[in-house]
Amino acid sequence: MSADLIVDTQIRVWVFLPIVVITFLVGIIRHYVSILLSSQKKVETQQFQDSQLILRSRLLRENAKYIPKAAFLSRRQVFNREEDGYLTQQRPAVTSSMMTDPSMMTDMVKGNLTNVLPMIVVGGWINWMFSGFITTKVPFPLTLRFKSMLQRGIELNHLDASWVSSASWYFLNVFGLRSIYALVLGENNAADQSRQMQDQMSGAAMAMPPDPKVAFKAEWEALEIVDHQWALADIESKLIGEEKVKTE
Amino acid sequence: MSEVKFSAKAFCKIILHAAKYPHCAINGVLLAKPNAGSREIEFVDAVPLFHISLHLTPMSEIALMQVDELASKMGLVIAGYYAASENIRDNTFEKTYHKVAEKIASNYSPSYVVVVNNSKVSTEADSSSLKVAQLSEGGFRQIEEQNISLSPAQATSYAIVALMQQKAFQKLIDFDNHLDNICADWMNVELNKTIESYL
Amino acid sequence: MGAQKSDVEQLRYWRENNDRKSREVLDIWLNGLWLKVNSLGNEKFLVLEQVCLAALDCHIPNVAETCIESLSQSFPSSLRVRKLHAMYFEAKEDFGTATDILNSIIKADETNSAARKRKVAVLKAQGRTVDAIKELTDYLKIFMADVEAWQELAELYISEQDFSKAAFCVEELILHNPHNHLLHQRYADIKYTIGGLENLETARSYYSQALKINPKNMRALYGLYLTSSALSTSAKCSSQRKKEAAKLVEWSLKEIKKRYSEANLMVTALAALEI
Repeated sequence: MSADLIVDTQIRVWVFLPIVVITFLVGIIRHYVSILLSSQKKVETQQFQDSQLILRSRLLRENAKYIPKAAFLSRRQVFNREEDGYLTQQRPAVTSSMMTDPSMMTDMVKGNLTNVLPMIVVGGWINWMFSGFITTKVPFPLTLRFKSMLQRGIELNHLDASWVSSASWYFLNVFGLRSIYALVLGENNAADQSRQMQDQMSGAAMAMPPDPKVAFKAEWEALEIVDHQWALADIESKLIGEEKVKTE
Repeated sequence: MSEVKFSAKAFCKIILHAAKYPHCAINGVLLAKPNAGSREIEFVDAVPLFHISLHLTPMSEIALMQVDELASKMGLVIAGYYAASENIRDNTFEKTYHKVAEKIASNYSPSYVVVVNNSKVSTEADSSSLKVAQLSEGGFRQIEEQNISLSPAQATSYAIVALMQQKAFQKLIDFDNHLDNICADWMNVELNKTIESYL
Repeated sequence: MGAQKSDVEQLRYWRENNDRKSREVLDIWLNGLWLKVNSLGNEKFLVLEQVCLAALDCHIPNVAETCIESLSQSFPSSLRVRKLHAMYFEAKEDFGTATDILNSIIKADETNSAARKRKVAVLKAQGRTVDAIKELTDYLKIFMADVEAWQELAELYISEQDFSKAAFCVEELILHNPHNHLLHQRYADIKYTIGGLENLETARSYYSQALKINPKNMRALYGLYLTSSALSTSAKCSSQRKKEAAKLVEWSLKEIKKRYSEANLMVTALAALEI
């Protein structure tokens, strides 16, 4: 149990608020810098065609029951034919190694530059500048494990883990100001760090270039197992049946 | 030497229908007094039919049934088919060929096909804006321009100028409009009255 | 000032709904918007594009030219503005120049779908429907999921009276939008037009589906009536099927009567059908 500490109001003025302001401004600067540095992503025709093909195949699977059986079967045939179906096309194996693809390299470097670097620099500066005292208290209780994370530079064993230092307050801001950025800069802004990190992780999964063959194979299998149940079989009696119920 | 006359109602409605949908192909039928075997024909009224996918048959069948009913009530007969192409330069009979025209021919003979000259749909529309041919076994037998007339000629010309300037085509209802909203009257009773008021 | 604001809002509304109100757009432009266009901020460019297209539609080339000049000053190397330029020549019926410009856009950006579609439009304007169909099918080999293109191809096939291919295109549209009653009804129309017992039954099912989705679709109701009467009088149908068809005829007639009486209209329509 720690006694309630009273925080100097000077801290509020000279530490608490400046950190918020700094984080906010750095975010805005990052957004505009990334716009300047961003390169036009040029889509190759083949990639584009492949993604359209996958889209069409997916729609065929999902909505097959709304077209007559014969129509579905002939389309499936065209997609899955042994030799020259859309999904059984031979494609040269694409090496998805990050290092050999120059454009991916430059994208990665740019991404790192605009996101990770500022965070490290500013975080380090704040830590250096505002070290040695607590800044604020988070409104919910935390376990002792968080102490080492949130109380950098403060070596007090009895201090409640809810008290945080300036560095941790800075990191809290980075994530917390996301919605403010959305208001100010509109959706899809480059200052949105957490989104960036998510994108980096899921980027490889979503992009077509790595290996269309894998995607094709997956679609081929999915299409093969579709069991066509025509949704319109017996629709007439359903139509009249419905009417009968209404008039009763 | 067949002679073909268009009443003001028939002529104005054809031109207004073409003007209402300049970006579509349109068609409709022409009503005349039954006068089988005569060399003269006067189209007293026109019924605008479609501007969407003219070659699909189901709605054409429904429309013909209803127009036929109306015609026999009024003592008239469906004796002609008119059409205008989507493309401004398409003014040939071959391009505007349609099953409906054949159906009409099988019911009443001689029947006629009218093609609208797209570049002449304006306030100065007159009898030269229409090309007429008689439909028979062998194909189309075009009627010469001097044998096509408007009756009454002067009054119809004034009427069409006034109607086009007032954008009366916005009030024209074709069968497609009726199918979109059945409260719309494809017999165009109100528009007929407006046209008559100019005569 | 108040009138101007609602004009701009109206233009925006038509833009967002893709309405083709060319005469009205031009009226707004010529009634004074052309003087105030610079005060519109970023919307200025969208409005200029919209007015340009309206002017081409109504054949007022000098307005179109002014808009294009304005846009090319602000966006000198834009492919979107170049496309408008091509459309300007298309409207003047200078199809050679238009096609050249479009080809240059495609060379600069192979995935530019708008330019490729304009090429189809140019061929259509020249009356070369068969060539237009070929160009469009080539386009669709790459841009397989372009709904607008499938729609246009369906219309082209219908105008050439190649109904089975048109049916294929409408099937694609249904796969993209399975709950659009107009597509089901259009599919049924095409199947009915092709004719034959099996197609009539398919048509009847699709008319019923259209009615289920939108009970107010009058064309589907009439279509249901037509297909059911054709089936009930067809020699090739079993008596069981004929009975079912007759039930549907009765039902559809009842519904048609109901609609017309609700609309308080003359009974010409009904008299025609009962014969």
